[in-house]
Amino acid sequence: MIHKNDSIRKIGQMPWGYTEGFFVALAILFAGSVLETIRPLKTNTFAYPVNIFVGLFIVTLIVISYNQIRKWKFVAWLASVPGSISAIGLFGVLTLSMAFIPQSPNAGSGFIHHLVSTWLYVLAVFFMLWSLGVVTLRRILRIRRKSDLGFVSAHLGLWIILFAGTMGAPDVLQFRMQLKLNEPTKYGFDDKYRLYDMPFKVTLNDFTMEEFRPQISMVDITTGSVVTYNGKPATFEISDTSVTKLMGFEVRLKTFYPMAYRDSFAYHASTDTLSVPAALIEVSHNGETRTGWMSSGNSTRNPEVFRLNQSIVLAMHLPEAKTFKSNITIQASDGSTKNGVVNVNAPIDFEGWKIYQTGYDENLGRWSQYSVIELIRDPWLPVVYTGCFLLIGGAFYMIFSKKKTQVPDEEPAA
Amino acid sequence: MWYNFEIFAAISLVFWLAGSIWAVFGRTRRDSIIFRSLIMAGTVMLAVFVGKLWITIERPPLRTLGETRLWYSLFLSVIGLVIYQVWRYRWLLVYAVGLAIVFLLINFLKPDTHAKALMPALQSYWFVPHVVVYMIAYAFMGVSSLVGIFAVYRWHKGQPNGDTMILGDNIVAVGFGFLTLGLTFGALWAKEAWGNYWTWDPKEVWAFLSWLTYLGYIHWRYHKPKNIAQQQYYLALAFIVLLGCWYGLNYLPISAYSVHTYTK
Ligand code: HEM
Repeated sequence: MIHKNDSIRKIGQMPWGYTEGFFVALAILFAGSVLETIRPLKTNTFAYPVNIFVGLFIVTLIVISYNQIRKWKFVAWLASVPGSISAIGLFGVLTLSMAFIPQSPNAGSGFIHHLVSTWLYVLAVFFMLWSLGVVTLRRILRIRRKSDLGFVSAHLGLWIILFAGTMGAPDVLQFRMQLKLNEPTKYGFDDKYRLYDMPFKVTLNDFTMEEFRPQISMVDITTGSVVTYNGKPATFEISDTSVTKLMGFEVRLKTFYPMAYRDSFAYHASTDTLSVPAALIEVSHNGETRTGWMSSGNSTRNPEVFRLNQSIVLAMHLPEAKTFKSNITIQASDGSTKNGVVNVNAPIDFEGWKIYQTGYDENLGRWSQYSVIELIRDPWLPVVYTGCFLLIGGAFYMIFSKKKTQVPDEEPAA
Repeated sequence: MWYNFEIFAAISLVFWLAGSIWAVFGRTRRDSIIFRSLIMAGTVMLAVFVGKLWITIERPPLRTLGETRLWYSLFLSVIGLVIYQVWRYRWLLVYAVGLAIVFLLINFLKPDTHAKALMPALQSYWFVPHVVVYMIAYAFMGVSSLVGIFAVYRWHKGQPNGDTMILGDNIVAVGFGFLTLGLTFGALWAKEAWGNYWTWDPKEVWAFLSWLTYLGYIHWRYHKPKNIAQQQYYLALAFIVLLGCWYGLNYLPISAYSVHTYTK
């Protein structure tokens, strides 16, 4: 005879399940908030060598937990699916908060505006690393089949990324440098505009920029906004070959100069500083044809529009950047030098630093007198990448592994 | 400008509609060949259009929401056909193509302008793999959510549902693999373009949230495969988080803090 109480487990009674997971996650949220209020996490709390010791501690904890899994009921739960789902869920709650609460000092004070640098986040990561670590270790020690490899690849990869990504973050050095042509610069500044003496000098030899052909829009001068036509904005690209037909107007391009200057009659091609993009266009409307110049202007020159009728003009947009890059020379104090071009999406490496093209004087565009580069040193990057490649391996396994079969709902495959 | 889009879309739509209707009413083996051919013809039409658009605008058409919708429609129809080929789920093919039609119709009603300009940060060999892998993942997850809805429907009619959930598991597994690829490719690209592989930018937060949503689901299913009553609702609704990442973010106030929203 089975008593009712034998089959219905009370909350808190072993083995734990999802309900207990909910309370563990809640407890961590609470503890993290209290800790953060009393003693806020400092950005460099886990900087080297603390992160190495924390890493050793977590790994030791995982190994001991694995050995005691039969004795320590909590660990048995931690390494079960309800345990890992609690860890995933807690991470989910923090992520959900960040999905709606702006994470930026501009958005307000209080730790909810910088959740990832709080104890809440650290504790959530710790919980996840502990659970995921025991799960992964258990599987590593019993690798037999291909599916075990897929499992270990994904889980170990994620563990490494989580650990190296969070614990390695304080070790990242990140500075900007503003380079003037031919002037060696030795100082970088951080995100709070504090100056740092860098271990090398950087000289800008050349800054070059290419622009897309500017777009042209029909603008209603009574409202100042772009005209819409068939539900789309009346904006188009000027092409050498095609004719643009819009609202009964036919627009043809006769001449285009990416860089030009104006005299009292026309625009002429130019390479002078501060020259502007200009186009000679021909517009036909109701059998009448007119030609005229237009230009987008720049910070010092006025734009020139083409009048279509009393209320509508054709106006040229400012050109958008296509590429901008800097030719630089780097000289380390030990005498080693390197010459190279930094381009967006193509940083260059120098003695453990990665150097990025980030900006220029946007008011002057291609005539910018300076170039802004970013210098980043992240000693944990190879570790994070190792984790990424393991995770990618696990993802490929998930895509291509043999799937469970089921009875088809209808006719069998031919 | 829309380079003959309406004509291509109209042809794709006609093929897809005809194929779906044929699939609903056709019974014989010959019918099955006909509706598959019709749907495939629609898919090829759309693929030709995407290719043409790519050449015309001189950059991969992956920047605006409208452009990603095109790929989404394309992959949905392909995935519907592939799953039909493997497991013979005709209803799934019809619904996947139906969803593809809906997204193509949205493009019809809300045309966007395809400017050639592609900002320097997007000019990378990562651009195409990252976005294409994500669109494939979204297409799988969209289909998985249809499976969830179908499971709920069968549940309420009192029909057995185990097979439907296993179909869902397989689709989620493949989709989650692609989602993981999209996330990691994105991080590797971000390191090249911005200097940091992860900055908790709103777009990244939403992408990570969607990933966690399905991560939780996979483990839950693994642990309690018989808990269908709740899981089918979770599966049907999980897609909302993905849509939040893909679409919703552009409308949330938080997008002002994102460097990854390219549609103004
Ligand atoms: C990249 C992320 C992850 C992927 C792709 C993944 C995938 C999987 C898969 C496919 C299984 C089923 C096992 C099998 O079929 O062999 C599984 C099981 C499991 N996963 Fe994950 N998982 C991930 C992350 C996590 C995380 C973050 C945790 C914990 C915090 C976790 C904990 C577990 C546990 C406890 C199991 C049960 C397997 C066992 O008892 O050995 N996983 N996971």
